[in-house]
Amino acid sequence: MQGLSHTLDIARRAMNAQQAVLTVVGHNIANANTPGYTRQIPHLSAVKASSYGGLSFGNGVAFDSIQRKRDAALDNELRNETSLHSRWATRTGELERLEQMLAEPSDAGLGAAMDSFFTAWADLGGDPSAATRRATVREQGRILADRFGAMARQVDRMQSEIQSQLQIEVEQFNLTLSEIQAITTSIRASGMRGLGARDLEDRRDALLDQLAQVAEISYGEKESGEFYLRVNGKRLLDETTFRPLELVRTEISETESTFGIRISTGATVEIDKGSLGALFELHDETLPDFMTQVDTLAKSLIENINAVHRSGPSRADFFSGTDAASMALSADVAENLNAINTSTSGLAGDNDIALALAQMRDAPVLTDGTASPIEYWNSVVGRVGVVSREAQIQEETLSLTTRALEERREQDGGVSLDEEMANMIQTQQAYIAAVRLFEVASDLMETLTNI
Amino acid sequence: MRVTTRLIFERSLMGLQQSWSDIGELQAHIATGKRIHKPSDDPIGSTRAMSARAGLRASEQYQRALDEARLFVASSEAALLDLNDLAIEAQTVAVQLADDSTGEAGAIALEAQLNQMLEQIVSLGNTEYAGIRIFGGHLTDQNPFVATRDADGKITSVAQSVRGTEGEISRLVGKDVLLTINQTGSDLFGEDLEFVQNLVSLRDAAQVNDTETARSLLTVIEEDSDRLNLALATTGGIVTRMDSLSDQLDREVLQLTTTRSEHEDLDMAKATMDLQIEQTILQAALSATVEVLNLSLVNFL
Repeated sequence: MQGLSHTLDIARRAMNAQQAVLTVVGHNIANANTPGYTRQIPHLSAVKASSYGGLSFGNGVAFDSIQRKRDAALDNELRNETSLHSRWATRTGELERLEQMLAEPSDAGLGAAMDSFFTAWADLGGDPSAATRRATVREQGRILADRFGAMARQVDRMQSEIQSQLQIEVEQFNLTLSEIQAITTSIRASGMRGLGARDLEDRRDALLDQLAQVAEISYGEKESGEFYLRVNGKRLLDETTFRPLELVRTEISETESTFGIRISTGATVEIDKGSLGALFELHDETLPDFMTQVDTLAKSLIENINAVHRSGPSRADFFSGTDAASMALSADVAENLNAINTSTSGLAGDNDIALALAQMRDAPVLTDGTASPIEYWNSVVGRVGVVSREAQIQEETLSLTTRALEERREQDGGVSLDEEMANMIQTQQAYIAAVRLFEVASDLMETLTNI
Repeated sequence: MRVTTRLIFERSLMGLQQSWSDIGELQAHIATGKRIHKPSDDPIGSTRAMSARAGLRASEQYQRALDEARLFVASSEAALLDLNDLAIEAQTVAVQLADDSTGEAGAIALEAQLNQMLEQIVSLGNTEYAGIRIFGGHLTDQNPFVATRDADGKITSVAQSVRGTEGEISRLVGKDVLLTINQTGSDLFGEDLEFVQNLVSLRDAAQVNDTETARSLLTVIEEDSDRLNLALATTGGIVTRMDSLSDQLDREVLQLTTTRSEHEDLDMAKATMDLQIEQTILQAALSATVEVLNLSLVNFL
């Protein structure tokens, strides 16, 4: 038979355990709104029974452990999706800026400027000797060249903004990486059972979420429990390694450059996903491709218009320059209205050059002689629209996927105040009962000693 | 399913934000009356709308060119009508001169008439419209016909200006449609200005009452008259062509406007209806959110 002290002991253990449970409940309630916090679950178990007189008697309760309610596989899936989503979200944002810059469809875009220019030539053809119409042609030419120049400058500005954004993202990534390193060290030092380690793990998980936004990461623990992190197969972090990302710029030409990522070993790291992946693609492919098309259009206009215009008496070019950025009125035309040729003969009523230039609106001079300047521009805008639409659709789909995963994580690991309240009452009642047990046992003890 | 406190708040908020974003988009569409604000709103539709816009701007210019050309053609038509009348008059005069019964006195009167006619012909040949000589070919800023006169001021011969009167004057009045709107000096009077020269000869014949020469000139003057008639008919043809082009442009403009509108413009009735629905949804969501967010076990402890 067990002694009364044994019962007292059970009551004491129960009170301790319930109090510990209440602490965990309290911690959960306190962190109900903490981003990245994972609910903690107290685990109680019955203490191993001891046998007495051939019977086995329970020894009450023991507070075993606190578990962090986290699903590592779900986390991994969510981070993969996050990297993808972040890539498309970044791309969508930048492409929308590009679209706004185009100002199409409207009567204020490049298409309208081209139209007005050709129309001015047609009007000059209607009255070849009118000085005001000549002046209009020059003015529309200037506006057209300005529009091309503005577009080149705006794309340039976008490029340099993307460049500084790349730098910021890489710095942020490295900062987060070093924080993860520090936390990992602390977790190893504190051992795996302390309450502190769990909160550190929460913090690390939140930081990993942040890294996944920037680039695709893979991570895990080796058999020894050592934490490691890789980006596209290249190890950036483990107990002995810390390799921050370095942004590397490769000059292609005087005006063009591409970006890449290198680590201290000298190895190149390919990044396709995350905001970095999107920014690389925009900077190295999407925007240069767009600009190449705009330059092609500008170059074709300059060359074709000049070829016709030079056949007139002034022999002057109408435009100078070779691409969108350098396009301008030629010095002759800018200085002298009469340098504008309306006809090859130069006679007052002749208008063959003016009409030929007006007809260039519909002349198939681009895309291997299949597209007129206006059609070409429409297709450039159409392509931007398609690419941007695709990005938007991807972003929308992935945002649904990531949200569903986030909800699953939240369902599993989030704090429900109602649940904690219920737990609290439950614990409170168990504690009160344990105190009653203690009272009864001590009453018995007192009765016994008073005999 | 386990529902956490944060999930309830986040979901409620997400629903409200979605509603607001939908309402904002609808509001922007209704405010501008456009369903396309940027190419990605409808890539295919926006390309079509852009083509339609370009087409409309081009049509506007073609229509303007037609309107301007109409005035030019109207002046040449008027001048040609007068010239045709003169050619018929010249035929009558030639018939009279060829008739032996006209006599000396009659011939003198006819000579005066012919002199006046020659003056009129040169002046009609040099007709101006808005400072442009319409029968001068490419040389529009100088008189295309220059008369040489004798001591009495009578016209002895008429020559084309040094640069000639050749050259088509064209207007761009449609995609790849160049319309020639002028008649040159040779279209009117013949390669070597036969009409004028023949009238000078007739006048000279009248001066000496040379019925023989007058008779021989009868047929050539008839040919000259036919030539002028042809020029008038050609100009009439140009007018008809312009009318048909103008009608065609009107139809094109209508079609392009419809295309542009179909792709760009908003179905206002539908959008207003959608906005109503969204408003109802948002109101319901707001009241539901308030109800749900206040529910908690905490309130009953």
